[in-house]
Amino acid sequence: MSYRKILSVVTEHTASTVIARYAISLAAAGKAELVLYAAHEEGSNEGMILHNDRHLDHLFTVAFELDIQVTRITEIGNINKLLPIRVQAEQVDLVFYPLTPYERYGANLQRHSVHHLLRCIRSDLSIMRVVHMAKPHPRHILMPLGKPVSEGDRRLMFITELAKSFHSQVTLLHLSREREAKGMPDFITRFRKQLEQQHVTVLERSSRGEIGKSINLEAITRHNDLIVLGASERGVLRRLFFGNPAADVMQHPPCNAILFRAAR
Amino acid sequence: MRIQALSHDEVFSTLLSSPRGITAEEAARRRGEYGRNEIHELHVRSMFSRLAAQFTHFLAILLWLAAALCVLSEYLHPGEGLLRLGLAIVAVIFINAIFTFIQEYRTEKAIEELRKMLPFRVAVIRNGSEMEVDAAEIVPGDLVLLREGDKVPADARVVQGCRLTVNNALLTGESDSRLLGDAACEEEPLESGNLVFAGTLVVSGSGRGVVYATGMATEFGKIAQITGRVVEEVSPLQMEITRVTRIVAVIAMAGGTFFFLVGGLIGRGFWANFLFAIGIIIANVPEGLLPTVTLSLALGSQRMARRNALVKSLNAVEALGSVDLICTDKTGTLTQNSMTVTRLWSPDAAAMACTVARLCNNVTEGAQGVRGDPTEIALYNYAVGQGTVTGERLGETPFDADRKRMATLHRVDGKLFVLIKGAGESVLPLCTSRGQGGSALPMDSGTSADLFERQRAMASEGLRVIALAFRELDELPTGEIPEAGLAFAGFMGLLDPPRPEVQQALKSCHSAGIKVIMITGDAGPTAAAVAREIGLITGDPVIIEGRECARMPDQLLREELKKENLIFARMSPQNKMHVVSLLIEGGHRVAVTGDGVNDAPALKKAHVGIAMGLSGTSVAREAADIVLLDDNFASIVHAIEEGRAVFENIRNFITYIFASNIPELVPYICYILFGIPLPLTIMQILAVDLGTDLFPALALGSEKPSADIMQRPPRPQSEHLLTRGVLVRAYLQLGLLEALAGISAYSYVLHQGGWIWPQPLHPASTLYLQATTACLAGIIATQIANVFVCRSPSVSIIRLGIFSNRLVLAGIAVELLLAAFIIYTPIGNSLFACGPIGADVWLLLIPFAILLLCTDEIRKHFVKRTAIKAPGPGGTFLGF
Repeated sequence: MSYRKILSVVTEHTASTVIARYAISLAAAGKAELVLYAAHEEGSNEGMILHNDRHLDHLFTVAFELDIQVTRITEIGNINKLLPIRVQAEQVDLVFYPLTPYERYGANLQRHSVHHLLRCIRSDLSIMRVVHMAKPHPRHILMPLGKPVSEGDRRLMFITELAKSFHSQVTLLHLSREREAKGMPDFITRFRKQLEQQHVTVLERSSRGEIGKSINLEAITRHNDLIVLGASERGVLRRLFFGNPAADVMQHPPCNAILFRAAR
Repeated sequence: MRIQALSHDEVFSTLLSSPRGITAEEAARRRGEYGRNEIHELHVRSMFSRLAAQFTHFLAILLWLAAALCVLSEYLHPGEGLLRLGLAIVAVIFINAIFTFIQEYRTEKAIEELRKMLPFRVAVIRNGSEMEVDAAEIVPGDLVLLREGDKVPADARVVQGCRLTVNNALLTGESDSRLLGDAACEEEPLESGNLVFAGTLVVSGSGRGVVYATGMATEFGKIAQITGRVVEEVSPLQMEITRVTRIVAVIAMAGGTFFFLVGGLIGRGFWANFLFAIGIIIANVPEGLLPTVTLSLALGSQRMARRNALVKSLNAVEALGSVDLICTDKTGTLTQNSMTVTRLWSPDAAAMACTVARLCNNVTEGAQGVRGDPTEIALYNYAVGQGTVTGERLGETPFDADRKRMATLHRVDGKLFVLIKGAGESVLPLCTSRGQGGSALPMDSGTSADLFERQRAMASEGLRVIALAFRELDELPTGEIPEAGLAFAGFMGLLDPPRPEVQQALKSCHSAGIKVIMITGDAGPTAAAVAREIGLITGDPVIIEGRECARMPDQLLREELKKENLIFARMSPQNKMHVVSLLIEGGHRVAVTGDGVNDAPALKKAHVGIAMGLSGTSVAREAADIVLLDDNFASIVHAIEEGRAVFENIRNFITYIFASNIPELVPYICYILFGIPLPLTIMQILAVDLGTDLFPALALGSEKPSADIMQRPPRPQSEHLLTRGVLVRAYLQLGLLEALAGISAYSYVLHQGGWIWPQPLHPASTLYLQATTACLAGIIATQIANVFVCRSPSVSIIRLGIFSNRLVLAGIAVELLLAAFIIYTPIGNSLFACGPIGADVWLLLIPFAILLLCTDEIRKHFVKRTAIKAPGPGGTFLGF
């Protein structure tokens, strides 16, 4: 199973072109349809719209040259309202959304679009923080694995598709101490096997200590190009007392980072 | 596809740029998106929060509590001088906090040093025009101009290069320069031939590059990130002090609560009981512990500095004493870093080999001698020693790490020559002939194999082998210097001799149970040869190279780390950091040496980071805990010896300080149980804890290392500073004798003054003041004997020698002066509620001091006998 329709949000920021290139590569590898989507607030300044259009033109050409069935959609209005409707209308399987420099995942009280979209978008959602323009094809993907997550299968599919598209090596980073004592849970064994069945090279590492710092250190010391995190499953109180490692990583990642939330 | 693998058009397309660069407006927009091209610290803790932390750690909280209780007691029972005590405790908290804060602040300047390594102004092309901008204004997509002598402002992909040679030593630690081009390639970023990195230096040539990463996203920024993000391991001493504090808190609170309840049961009033409980708690809190430990570490650091180890973080003093594994560099630390040619092998006369070594060389000779790369200096010096050759240089292809060779075009005696030197595997395949008996003989595959074998043989002797070759030309070449069809001239073997003191230092490590692992950027055979020569390895070496290490699963690497004769060769700083992390996870206490910028993360990660003072970069020095002033491995071993002594000394003065808690406590118990006037006031407790005890305790901290300190294995992690043995000795043996002395002196004075039990005594009466002073004098007199006793837990004072630690004598002199001030001056009397006592009281106390000395001598005798009968690591119940 692979994605049939992928939507990538394009903005005036160059980071959105990097994330769109990921979407293009995934679409090319999986023969999926691609939607390049932009939404301008009413009264947006002309320069911004022009910039956005340039990015759309550029990406459309790149996708078109790769024989991808690509559609370009521009809407006027609030992206928080328009995007979920569009995703449903277009029956999109996967959405790529670039974090703007001012958005902070995890800062729920700041009412950023990312939190609204996390709540309202029904398909798989991949939120990306771009710090590096020069890595359109990640060769080393780091996947931190804390406690087993319920959405394992969707994450597996996403990671497999990414790794297959970019011929990347996937490093599974174990962050749970319990795992060392009790052995690998079934979820991870299944995860690794399925990746290997898809001819993806899998490396395993383990790390202790503060989760956010461990992930960043591993990414730096091992020259990973991309970190793929699962969306935090911690409740408000747990986040308050024990923090939100996914948010810490997404705020200042050493390389590009994706926060994946499975479809609901 | 990564940036290095893309064509020029794809590079511009990916980075949304063009050969005309980006516009100034676009640059401003991108700056808003990616930030300024600067190195900054992430998650910075404010100065205020760092200072606040010094006031809120566990011992500080305990002291705050004690101070608060004093203020409360003053409020409930005015006139006891408890307010002064409370203020004194607060002063202790402040002095400690500020002292520790300054120490910490001084060590956290690594990021600041990194920031200084980026350039200030840079030439860029924007909108087709060349302009100069601040380096901080550079953004991804900018087209930067690279010229000889420039520092690279950001990570960039080269799209145009003319003999562009850069030195990446800042990132890779390799001093060799690299020749870059603009062609696409597939290598990893640091090995690719078309990428330049922020902070590196353009050695020669020129070029243009499109910036793809700025600020913290650059490779250089990642070093800053990792340096800032690495969690420094908590030092063993920090853990131990926290543990000691918790034990003390439990004892104090339990004691206070217990006697509060007992007082209630025997019918004493609530407030009287409450005050009494506060007294018990204050008597048990060692107010003088923190300043004594801090000052003792400072003294330890001074002694280490005299042995060429400059300590930057006080906790590292003791941490170094607990290390059981040292990861050390080779060049400069184990060896002298002074290359000399010790072997020349040539198939013909050596003259041509010397000509190549002399002329194909970039050293400069000036008033300060020959300067340049150590290898080139060695070749030059050797060649000059063999005779003078002169020639006119007409061209050069610089050395680069990929080609591993350098070529020059020279006119010598009117003839044109191509002269080449480099690694054997790079030069030999280009050779088609070799000189023999004045004529050139063609080389076949057999001859070539022989030469490779000879090179291997020289390398296995620990020599760095340089191959030398030449070719005579008929006319000046028009393009590149021709490097094919060379005649082989010879091999020169260079040796970096080991430091003479290293062998003995390694023996000391061996006997002290410290494992030493060499982690070097050099080749495996060379490293193994040096390791064998200095006695680091004895059998067959287990050599793990950097690439292998990077591919190895953690579990397998953990197994490899358990092996003996282990050498890590061709290691990158990232590999080094990984190995150090695994060693720490494996339960080792690790010291790591380093000198490069890229060593900073490993230096911070290790329990003790040791930077090289002579050859190290300022970033490494700032990130390290200890800086070696002479870069010498032997200095590390000396520092470990001092570190071990510091732990032993801290334990000794903890015994000394804790012993005085019992004579401070027992008077309170007597007061409540027997209804006698309180024999010791809280201000007098303070006079002991923060006054008379302080200087002898400090003197104990300066005790020299015991003779066998490097014959013992490293202290097991399970062994604590405060053990059951230490507590039993301090509380039940030494403390009880001191309490007996104090109570006896107190009773004696009361008895002499005609007091009869249970007659009440006014707190301001002369008899009461003299009696409490006698109790105080009892503690002081026995603590004088105790300071001699605590110099060693197991060695007799007779063997140690009474005068062998003059600071102890000075400490006692200060203690006596303070006692005289408290007991015999009006100010002292009024401050501490004392009254002068007669010589008869002191005479009465002398036998108690002698008794304390004698009982501990007997204990030491038994400890020694037990140790001889059952030798083993760790302390015995009585000994520690």
